[in-house]
Order: sequence, then C-alpha cells, then structure tokens
Amino acid sequence: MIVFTHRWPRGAGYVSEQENQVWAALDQVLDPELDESIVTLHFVERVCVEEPGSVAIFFRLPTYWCGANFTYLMVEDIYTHVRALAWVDQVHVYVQDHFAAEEISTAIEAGKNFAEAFPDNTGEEDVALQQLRLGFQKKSFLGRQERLLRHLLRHGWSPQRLATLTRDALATEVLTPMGQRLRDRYLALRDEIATVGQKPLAFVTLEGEAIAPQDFPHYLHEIRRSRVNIEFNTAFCEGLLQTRYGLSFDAEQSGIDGEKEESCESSATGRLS
Amino acid sequence: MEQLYEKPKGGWTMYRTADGESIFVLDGHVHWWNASPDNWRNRHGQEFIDCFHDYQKNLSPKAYIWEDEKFRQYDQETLLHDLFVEGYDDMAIFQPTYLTEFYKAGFNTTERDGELWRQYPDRFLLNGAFDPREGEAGIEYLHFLSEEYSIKGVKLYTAEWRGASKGWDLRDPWSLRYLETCEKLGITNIHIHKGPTIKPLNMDAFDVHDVDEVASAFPNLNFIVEHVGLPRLDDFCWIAQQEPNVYGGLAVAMPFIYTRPRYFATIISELLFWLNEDRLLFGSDYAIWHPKWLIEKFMAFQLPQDIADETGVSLTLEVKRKILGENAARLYGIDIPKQLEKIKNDRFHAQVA
Repeated sequence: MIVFTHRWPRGAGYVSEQENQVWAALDQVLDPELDESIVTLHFVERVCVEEPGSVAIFFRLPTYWCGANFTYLMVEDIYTHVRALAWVDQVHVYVQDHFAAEEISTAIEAGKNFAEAFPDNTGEEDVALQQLRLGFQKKSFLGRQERLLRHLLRHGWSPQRLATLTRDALATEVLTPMGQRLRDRYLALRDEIATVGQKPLAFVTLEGEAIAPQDFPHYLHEIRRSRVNIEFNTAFCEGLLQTRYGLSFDAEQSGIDGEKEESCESSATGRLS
Repeated sequence: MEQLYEKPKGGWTMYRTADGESIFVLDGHVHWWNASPDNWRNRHGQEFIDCFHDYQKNLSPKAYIWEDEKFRQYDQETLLHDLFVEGYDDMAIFQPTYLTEFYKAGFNTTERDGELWRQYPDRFLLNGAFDPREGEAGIEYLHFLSEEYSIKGVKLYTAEWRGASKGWDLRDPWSLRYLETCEKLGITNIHIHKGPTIKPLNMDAFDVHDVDEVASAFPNLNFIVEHVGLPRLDDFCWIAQQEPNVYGGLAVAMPFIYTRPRYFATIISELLFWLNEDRLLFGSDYAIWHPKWLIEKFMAFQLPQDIADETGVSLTLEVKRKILGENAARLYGIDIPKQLEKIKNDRFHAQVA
C-alpha cells in the first residue's frame, strides 16, 4: 500500500487522477546514494500527461556534475515504474541541466543499457552498473537499520531483546508513527538483499550473521558511519538543489526522531569545552 | 618595528581567544583560481565554477556571498586580505587544480599560485599536482616542480578528465611509480581529491578504497583525503581507522557549522572517533568559503552533550588547536614559534595592528 506522506508539488488548477498515479509511481524511485524518494528530494520538477498514454517527466539534480551512473539508474527506474502504469504507452524523461542529459534520456527510451548509452566506455559491461546499485543498496540497508535500532533503543528496548527479535515479530510490533516508518523502510529493503532477506532474525549483519547482545554497542558504532554519511550527503544535495533552482522547502529528512538543530555555540566568555 | 605590547603566549598569531591564547592557523586548502569567461574552454568551464559558487551560496553566511564576477576571478590583494588580514590564517597551502580540459590556462595551477608564493614565501606553502597518465614526461615534470617550487606535497584528482581516459586509480602502475618518485624527492604529503567526473563512468568516481592499499604500500608518505572522503565518509573512516598515515582534510564538512551545526557535530565527533585529533586538518577551500567565519564559528563550537556521550570524544581547545594548525605544521615541517617570528612584522600584521 502506498502511503501518501506529502502532497505532490502542483500548480494551480485541477490535478488529474492520472497525474496522481504518475507521482505515486515516481515516489517508488529512490536516489541510490541518498536512499530517498526522488519526489521527496524534489528532483521531479513537473509531470505532464499530454496526449492519452503519453507522459513527460521533468527531472533535475543538485548539480550539473551529478554522476551519470546514478542519474542513469534513477532515469531507468522512472521509466520502468511509470511505464508499468496500465494506461501509459510512452514515457519521456527530460533530464535538465546535466552534462549527460541527452545521452541518458535518449538511451533509456531506446532501451539501451549504460554501456550502450556511452560507447566510449569500451570494454565495460552493464554488470558493473548493477553492482554499483547493489553496493549502494547495502549502504542504504545499514543506514536504515541503524536508524531503527537507535529509535528502539531510545524507546527502552534492550540489546537482548533486539538480538533475539524475529523478523516476523518486528513486522507486527506496535510502534510510534516514526517507529513504524523506520520499521517499514527497514523491512522493505531488508527483504531485497539476498544475504539478509531469508534470515529469521530481524537484525543481522550484511553477511546475514546474528549480533550478540554484548556486541550491539560496537555494531552500532560501525553502522553509524553509514547513516551519518547518507544524512550529510542528503543535507548537502538538498541544499545545493535549493540554491540552484531558487527553491525553499523544509527538508523531509530530519535527524533521528525529528530532532531539531540546536545551537552549538558557547557563551560569549570564550570558554570552550 | 619594536613590539610595544607584551608578546602573547604562543606567539603573534592572527587568532587569539578571549583569554589571550594564541592559535596558529595553517589553512590546508586554498585556491587562487581564474575562472573568468575568457578562460573557459567550453561550457564545462562555466558549469564548474557555477557549481563552486552554489557551494558558497548554499552554506555561507549572507555577508560572505560574492557576485558572479568576483567569484570567477578575484585579484591577489583580495586573496591576501581575506586570508591573512581578515581571515585568521597565519599560513595557507595552495592546492592546485588544473582542469585544462575546461580552462584554457588551467583553473588554479601551481605556476599561477607560484606567483603569490614567491612574493610571500613565509605565508604560503605551494603544492604541485601530477597525473600519472602523462607517463615519463610527468615524472620529469615532478622533478621540475620539486626544484622550482620546493614542493612538499601534491594534490591528486583521480577523476579528472583527460582525453578519452576515465580517470585513474592510485593503484595503477604509473601512479605507484609517481608515488615512489615523490618519496625520493621528499614530497611526503599526498592530498587526494575524489570528485565528480564528466566521463560517464559506471564505477563510482568518489570511491576512496584505492587509498587503503597505497597507504599500506607507502608508510612513509602521508595521505590526506580531502573533504574527509565525502560523499563516502563511511568508507573513509573505515580506511583511516586502519591506516595511521591517512589523514582527513575538513573542507566541505566544516561549512555545515553555520547552517547545520548538529550535523557538523555528528561528523566531527565521528571523525575524532575513527581517526584521532592528530589526523584532521582545517581547510577553508577559499574562495568557496572564507576562513574568517569558519574559524570564528569553529572556535566557538561546542559538541552537544548527547553526541559527545555517544562517541566519547571531546572537542577541547587543544583538539581545536591541533586541527587548525598544529597537525598541518607537523606534516609540512613548520616550526611554529620560528615561523611566527618570521611573519610577525610583515605587512599583514601591520594592517591588523
């Protein structure tokens, strides 16, 4: 079930059911590095349903230099998800203000893979791009796992309980709204990763191994890096996007449990911690 | 010129705390670029500098945001004033960026930076750059840089576009030869910049894993990963934890101290946890960001208690002192008291007094 957590960006006037369906499909597309929906990230500027069955999507990025590989993955996913709508015959994705815009858009529409889109890459196979995707899925997994674990620990869960919890028990656990969101995101990705998805325990390493209760503090330290990295990158990219296009929005991505930014300045006496 | 005042403890530095303590600042990363339209080779020249400008606009306090014209090309007096009069830098390291595929005369080359270095050799350190794809010719050029500019460090941009090449890896055979040459020539500081590439790689242009192997292979060289490997901070921390000769340059991370202080707190505490206070280096990345506000805010900064508790680290005055100057001084063989004596009467001090 798709949860509409925000209103789609829209101009004045009527928004059709078809447009809504396109936005919902786009919401399934994630930025591989930031592990967040391209709609939430405001990468989708506009959706146009013009002739029957024809959809145009206007896509933008924080910089002209954003990696062609990641851009390609996102555009490919856009194409796949929108094309899957029953009434859609044609999808045109317009990548704006990007060094490889035209090659990417044209190639994907023609059904070419990355290597075919960029024939300069002699000897490279498309397999490498899928490996890239998997590599970032793993980073995203750790980020989602870390956030969920921190949330549960803050709500009084013990390492013992976390270590023995099964996946199925986690799925039905009663949690706060934030906890539910973190849980659902965690399980959705967990199920996609081969080494992890089959395991009965809720919380395992990327290799599918259990984590002993006494090892939780150390493990959390390890995976915190992944979450911090994704968080920073998201803040950086979102900021650049707003500057580049003159936008202003509250980043959906907030700290754990919606923590606000605090002042970190010392008092005027110059005393330092 | 006689000193009419009692010499402050720690020497005549630009920055002093409210209690009168001197903090020596060695800015690890500055540029003197020419990105004016007549230097653009193609559209990429414009897009590159515009992207830099977005970094400035997005993260700087409003008063420090420049107009396009100035940002594309600022003169040497502007740079000198910003760094040494207003900016609290006592010294600064020029880190070159060539980008000859985007700029006719290069962006911020060793030769161009060298003009300023020659005029103020006690204020600047000048680094070179190499591209192992230049083969034997590049080795000769490295010798030339060493003789001409006494370089003690190089900045490497592994994702840089060159003809049909997709960028290079530190582990490539030619790269290893270059690193051996660096060791022979006493060029001990290898600054690595992982950046976006316009070549459509299917690999990750930001990947820092090649640093791991070369750091092990060359224990006598120092590998400074610029902007602490962002956007691959997680991998950088993993590598740096294991390799004692891997350091982190704090450009790009530090500006968050103004707009997202809590994120900055998280990052700096993470870095102190995985590395230590001896392996982090301040860098403004001027003229993207101005050292004045970066240093003021850093000196005033305190870690929120919950973040400090989580990692067990602390950001004391001593730690800040190391980050702002002592660590870089150690890497570049700068005797701080001696250096401060050399510069205490120069034109920049006179302007501040």
